[in-house]
Parts: sequence; C-alpha cells; structure tokens
Amino acid sequence: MKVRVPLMIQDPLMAKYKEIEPTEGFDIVEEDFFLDGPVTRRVAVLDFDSETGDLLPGVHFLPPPPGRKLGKYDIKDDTDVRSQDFIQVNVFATALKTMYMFEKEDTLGRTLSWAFDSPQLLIVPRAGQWINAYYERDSHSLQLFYFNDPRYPDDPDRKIFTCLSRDIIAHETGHAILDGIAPDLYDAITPQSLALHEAIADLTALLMAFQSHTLRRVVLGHTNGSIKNSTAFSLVAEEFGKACDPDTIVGSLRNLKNKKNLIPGDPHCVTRNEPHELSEVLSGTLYTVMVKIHEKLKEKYAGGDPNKKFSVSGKALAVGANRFKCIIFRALDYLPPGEVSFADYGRAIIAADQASYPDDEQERKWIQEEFVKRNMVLNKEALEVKTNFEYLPLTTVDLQMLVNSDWAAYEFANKNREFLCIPQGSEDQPDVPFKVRPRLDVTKLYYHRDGKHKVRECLFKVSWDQVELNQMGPRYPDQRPITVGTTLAIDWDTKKVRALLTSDHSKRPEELHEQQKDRDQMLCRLADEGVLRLGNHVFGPDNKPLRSVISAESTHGLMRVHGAARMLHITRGL
Amino acid sequence: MDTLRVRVYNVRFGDAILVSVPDRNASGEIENRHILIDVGNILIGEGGANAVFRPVIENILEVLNDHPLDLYVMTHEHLDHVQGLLYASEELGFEIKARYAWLTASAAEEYYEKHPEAKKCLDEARKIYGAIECFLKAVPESQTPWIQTMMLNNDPQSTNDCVKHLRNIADKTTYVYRGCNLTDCHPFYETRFKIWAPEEDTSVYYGRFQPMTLGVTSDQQSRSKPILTVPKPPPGVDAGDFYNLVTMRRQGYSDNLLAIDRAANNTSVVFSLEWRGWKLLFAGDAERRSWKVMNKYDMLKPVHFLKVSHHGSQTGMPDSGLLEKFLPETSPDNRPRSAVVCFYPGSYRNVPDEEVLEKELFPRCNVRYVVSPGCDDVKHVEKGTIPDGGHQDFEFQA
Repeated sequence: MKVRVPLMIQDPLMAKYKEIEPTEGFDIVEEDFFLDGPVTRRVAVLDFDSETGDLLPGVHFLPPPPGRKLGKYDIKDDTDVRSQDFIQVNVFATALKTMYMFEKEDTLGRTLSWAFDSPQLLIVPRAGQWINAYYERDSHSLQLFYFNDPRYPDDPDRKIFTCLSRDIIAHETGHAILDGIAPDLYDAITPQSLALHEAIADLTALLMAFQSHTLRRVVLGHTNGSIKNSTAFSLVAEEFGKACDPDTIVGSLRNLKNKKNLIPGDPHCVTRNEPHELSEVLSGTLYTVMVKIHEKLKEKYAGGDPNKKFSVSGKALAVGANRFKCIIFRALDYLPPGEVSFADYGRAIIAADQASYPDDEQERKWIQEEFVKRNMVLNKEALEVKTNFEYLPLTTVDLQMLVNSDWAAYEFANKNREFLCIPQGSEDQPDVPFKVRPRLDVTKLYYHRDGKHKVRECLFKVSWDQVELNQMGPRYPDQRPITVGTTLAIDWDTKKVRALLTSDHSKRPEELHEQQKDRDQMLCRLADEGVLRLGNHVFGPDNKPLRSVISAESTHGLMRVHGAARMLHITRGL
Repeated sequence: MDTLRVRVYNVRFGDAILVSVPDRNASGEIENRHILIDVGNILIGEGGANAVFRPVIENILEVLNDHPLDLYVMTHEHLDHVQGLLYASEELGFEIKARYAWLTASAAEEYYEKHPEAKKCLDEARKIYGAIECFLKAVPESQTPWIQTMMLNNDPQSTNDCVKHLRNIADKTTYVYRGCNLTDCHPFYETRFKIWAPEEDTSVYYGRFQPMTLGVTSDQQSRSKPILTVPKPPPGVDAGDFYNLVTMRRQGYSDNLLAIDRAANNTSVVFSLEWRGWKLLFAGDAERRSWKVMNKYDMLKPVHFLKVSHHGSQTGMPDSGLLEKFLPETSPDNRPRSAVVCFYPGSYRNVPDEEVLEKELFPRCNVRYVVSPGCDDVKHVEKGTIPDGGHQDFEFQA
C-alpha cells in the first residue's frame, strides 16, 4: 500500500514571500501499518492541547478503496496549513521523508534504529508556547513549540509554528537519527562532538530542502542556476530566524553559507566551547564543498558551453546533492564511538568516500582543503586514512557470526586489541575493559564509472574509557572518564578492511590536548551558568531530576557527565 | 576602644542581623548607631518556627533602648527575610521603628510601572506560579516539603503584606540599587556604604523558563478544585511510552519554581559597610547571576566579613574566581577575616552545601555557623551552634 501525504515545501511565511507553493506531495511506501494520528510502527504524532494537556483527535486514515492501492489521510483542506489535520500530517510526512533519506541504499543502506528502547518516535507538533523545538531521548520525542510573532506582539493569531517549518522538523529528526547512529554523542562533553550533532541536524535540513523539486526549480530560477550565495537552501529556518531577529538583513536561524572558522584572531573565528556556534564551522565547510560539487557538475553537464549552465543546474543540483548526502551521512556509520572531534568526522568522511570511490579524489581534496583553511585540522595529512587493506586475522573470521554473536565479537576484539587500538594491560595493570557495540550488516549502493554496485559491509565498533584531568576547580572531582573507541569497516566479500578509525587521540597529542582544553572550558562555562550540576544538585523540589540541567556524578574521584546534548537541545534551543 | 558589632540571630531558616556601629559625628562625638537587616524565617516546617522571634525582637529592643533603629535594610521579598517584623507587630505586639529604611528597588510600589521589562518578567513568573499552584491543588500528593516551602516563600500575596508593613517602618524609605544616590538616606557620618546589588532593572535576573504542560483544567467561576487531565494513548502507541512523555512534559514546573525563587533572591540588596578600615559585606540571598553582574561592574573588592549569601547554598556561593576578588586566599591587609552562615538543615535541599563551603570558604576565613544545636545533617558542628532565638556576635575593633 502506498499513502500519499502533503508536506510543507519550506515554511508558511517564506513560501508566501517567495511565491513558492506551500506544499508538495510525498508517497510513503515502506511502513507496516497506518493508523489515525498519524501513527505508524516507527512514528506517532501526538497532538496535545497545550492548555488542557488533553490529546486532540488524530487525523483519520482513509485506507485505499477496494481495488486501489493509494491510501491517504483525511485532510479537509490541504491549502489551510494551520489546520489541525494538516499540521499533524505535515510533521509525520516530513519526519518520515527525512528518515527515508538516510535509509536509502545510496546512503546508509539500512533501516534506522532509535537510541531508545522502543520502535516509535513520538512527535508533539504543538508542544506549547516557547521559542524552541527539540529532540529528547528520554521521552522518545520531538517536541515542536509555537510562539507569538514578536513583530506582531498584539496579534495572537500570528503565531509561528515550528511544526510548519520543514527545516526545523528535519533538523530535529536529524538529531533523533544521529542519536541512533552515534549514541555516545548524547553524553559527550567535547564541544566538537556536540557541535557535530548540530551540524548534522542542519545539514539534514539542507538535504531535505535539496530533495524538493519545486524548491530547486524556484531557487535556481532566482539565482541563475547557482547556490553560491545565500539562498533558501543555505538559510536554516528562515521564518523562525526572521521572527526572532527581525533586524537581520538575511534572516534565518543559521546560514550555512558562511566563513566561520577556528583561526584565532580571524573576524570569523567562533568560540571553541559553544557547540551551536562551533557547528557552523563544520556545516559551513561542508556547504562550501556542496557548492563546488554543484559547480563541477554544471560544468560537466554543460559540456563547456556557458549558455547551458543554467539549464543543467537543476540536474546538477539533484545529482550533486545525492553525492553530497552520501559523503556526509555515510561517514556517520564510520564515525568511531566516543568523544569525537571535527577531525575524526573529517577522517570518517575521507575514509567512507575513499573506500567507495578510490579513483575519484576531487571531493576529498576539497574537503581536506576546506578543513585546513578553517583551521579544523593543522594540515591535510591529519585527514589521511588508510583504506581497502588486508588484515590477515580477518580472512578467517566468520562475519555473520561476528554480527550475530556477542561472544564472537568480544573474542575478536580481545584477540585484536592492538589492531583496534584498545590499550593492553601490563604486568601490574589489568587489561582495559572494553565494550563491543551492536554490529551492523549494511548493503550500500555505489555509482561507479561502470555503473551501480552494491557493497556489503560489516561495521564493527568497540569502545573503552580513558581518564583525564578535570580542571574545573575545587568543587569538582579531579579526573573524568572519556569514552573513546574504534570503528572497523570490513568488506563482506573480500574481507578487506575498508576503514579503521579511532577516536583515541593518544597518538595525536596535539588533537588530544586541544580537545581536553575545549572540554575544560565548556564544562567550566556550563558550571558557571549553573547548568552543570553535580550529585544531588540535579534534583528539583519535586525530588525528580531537573530538566534544565546537565547531571554529573562523582564516583571514585571521577566526574561522569550525562546528557550534555539533551541540555543543548532543550535549554539552548534549535 | 570602639567596637563594631555584628549580631547574627538564630531565627532558624532565615536572616536577622543587627549591626551596632560606633559612628563619630561631625563634632567628633561617638554615637552608637544600629542597622537591622531583614528578620524573617521560612514559615513552614521546623525551619519556620515562630517561637524564635520573641527572644530576638526582645533583644533587639533591649539593644535599641527605646530608640528607633538608625537604618533598617530589607534585602529582598522572600518571607524568610521579611515576615518577622510584621509577625512581631501583629502577634507579639512589638513595634520596631526606624529613622531610615532601605528596601530593594523592586519593592517600591510604582517600580513595575517604571520598568516594563522587569514587569514582563514578573508577570511571566507570576503566571507560572499561578499555574503551579493550580497544579498542586489538583495533585496535592505531588507536594514535597521543599515544594511547600518554595511555594510559600514565593507567595506574592503573603509577601506583599509583609513588604507593605516594611515600607512604613521608617521615617524615610529609600528603594536602593547599585548606583543609587544614598545622600540623606542614612544618618551615618563616619561609616561608608556601597550598594553592590541589585541592578535597578531586575529583568537581568530572570532566566528562561522551561515549558510545562501541567494539564490542569480549572473552572474559575465555579471555584471547584482544579482537575488533572489524564489523556489516553491512541491506538498503536505504547502506553508506557505515552505516559512517560506526558509525565516528562509536566516536569518543567520544578525548574520553574527554582527559577522564580532564584530571580527574587537575585534582587537582594548586597551592600558593604566600611568603618575604620574594616569592610563588611552583607549579601542577602544573592545567587550566581547577581554575583556575575556585580563582577561585571567591578564591585567585588576585598572585605573582612561576609554574611554568606543564600544560607550557604552552592548557587549563593560565587565560584573561586569571583570569591578570590572579595575574599582572596591571602588577606591583603593581614586583618583577620570571618564569615557567617545562617541556616536550618532540611528546609531547602542542599542548603547549605557544606562541601562547597569546606572547599571554597573555609580556607579563606574563619567561618561560623548560626544553626540550632542538635540538628542532624550538619557536618561541621564545630563551626558553632546557637540556641533558637540566641545570637552569635562578631566584633571589629577600631
């Protein structure tokens, strides 16, 4: 059965402003069942009345008539985007479309799983009045708020609904998806790890924008076929941003077309310990690469004829966006567990792309150049990784057994500690304990010069804790554990190592020192703001954990921090 | 030899401080002048026992010897700082009068008309307080002693009655803030005062409130008890996940209650008193945000005595960096330094935070506690216990 649903192309005000049609259709084909709400096995929309707390009726599902295969949801008037039934269907459709974008064979090539122990992501489209929207692992939910437009404070009817912004829904769904892929980032205390969450969420919104044929047509029509400058693609959550800060010239929550960097003294240098700002360095870097990909494809399709560049710009954008999506999302599966830096993600990008497209270096060169240019790494060599090599012990490993059996996985990790970078014990020190993560069996589609190829991979991840100094002053424990780990990607057919990546930076002392310093600074700042709380200071007067704090516990002189990303989503907003 | 005395009363969980200053007038004569700071306790539970007020008020009157106070200071509008004098007047028949009074700026009747941003913040806080009050009526079993204490301490109506009384306690009342003109606002000649906080516009002390969907409906007209809405999970949604979500969406009220409490604490009058080389700091219940603002305006200068803020809580104790500015580890002039913490354990959770006091304050000065004897959960009893209604004196010789 197929279900056709409408969804917002962008957001209500921007659609009107740019004369873009407000909605477009999307066909859902991969869900087990459809119920009123909408509710499916993986997504449920719960539209609460924010005043009374009651659950409002969900939009009715209309199954296909006999002999037909197309079902739909009963939206009375799909031009009324503020109606209850449209709002419910829009969040549902946008979240699902975002999920499908990740799951396709040409991207991750597998079904997503959530970081929580339940199959269903709950979406609350009108969570209450607040200038915010967030993903929260503990409640398995996306909560999208609304607020009175500050430009029209006396007009309560001019509300900004974050649930009507494709960017915002995609951004929050991106957080939920990334949490399932890289759950360690949720408890990370490295600013760059937290920033990675934000950057990927913003890039998810960008890629969702690229998915819209209508938006591609309209934007390229306005820009003569270019995405070099700020457009509806690079501007994240325009309606929201414009409402929150009406005086800005461009007006958006963030602009991916930026020059933000980590070069001390540069006017575009951002604060290293503020994850949202920091995220713009990474997303800006990758957006620049996307622009280059688009330009290159335009050149190629136009065959050197400058007059054809506009007419091929749409195709170039569609194809380029797909390549870009593979580059940035496939790297997430290669990301090592634990606290990761931008450099780790950069290496994961290079490894994933190199393993898949060994002969096509151009995109990787651009990425390396841009990472160096923005001082995310010292030099290109910092992003070099070895891929597609043989490791003898793998030749005898039963990969199916490795995927299915925890025992086999632990046995393999223990026997190959050195290869996987797991610290060995010594005469007076026991071996460092480690944790093997659930293995993934993925089949991805690659577009090689000679056509499409399917590549099956086993993704093996292992993590362990390191201890480092916690330089936060006398109120806090002197040390803290840091989770690090290694990802091993194995080609299922050849048993060659497609990539081996570790977040253990002990062999990269400069990166290690830099990340430690960033952690200290961010934790001190959070403590100073009263956001980071130790011990029973995390409990409120109702004896339950406070929602607006990050909890830290002290055991055996170690400070362990939980849910820093949750705080980032909830208290800092989008 | 002239001696300045700070007398800190044990009113259980609250503040009552009498400062007696030998102040030399223009002709060189010494006049012993008295400043009373606050007087109140938390009203509820053991920390709020009213019996403590009689001996305290009697002692204050004895010291005053039929004279009015020279200066009364109300630090902020919380019952544990303001309700004692109204109680003394109405229940004990003791009237304490003052020549001058300083009340925190936002206690002025017309304050919120002049400060629209602060009004916006206060209105939001009051709205949230009202919603929480309604929720607690609907679900009384969710009240913990701490919630009851905080609700009462921040109850606008009860506080208003006390503040109204205090507005009329003196011949001349000034609503003070950092930078206000204190000329003719006190009778002291030799003694110097400096107001470190609050800011005139108290909106700086409000943070962002958390969203909370308490799910309570109330029919105001019928005045019936509010009812908690219990939504049912729709088909296809796991009931456990659904109710977990509903519960979590309610939880923001606890954060908001603390935020309301914190905003009021941060409006505390924080002032220094300088007398013959001694510098004393009375910090009310200033919390982190107020300390940061004080630092921003370079107010933090070394002192010899500290009335520890907010009963020794973690949030009332500035971090090492700020503390170092007004209570450096090494005394800049080699004079002895001391601090006093007034509290009653079990009234507010984690107040005081003895671990933080131990790490941050103990190495810097001689810390004394004003706490009732026999209280459980006091780690450093050696820092002193004082019987209910009794007092601890700190003396500073010229």
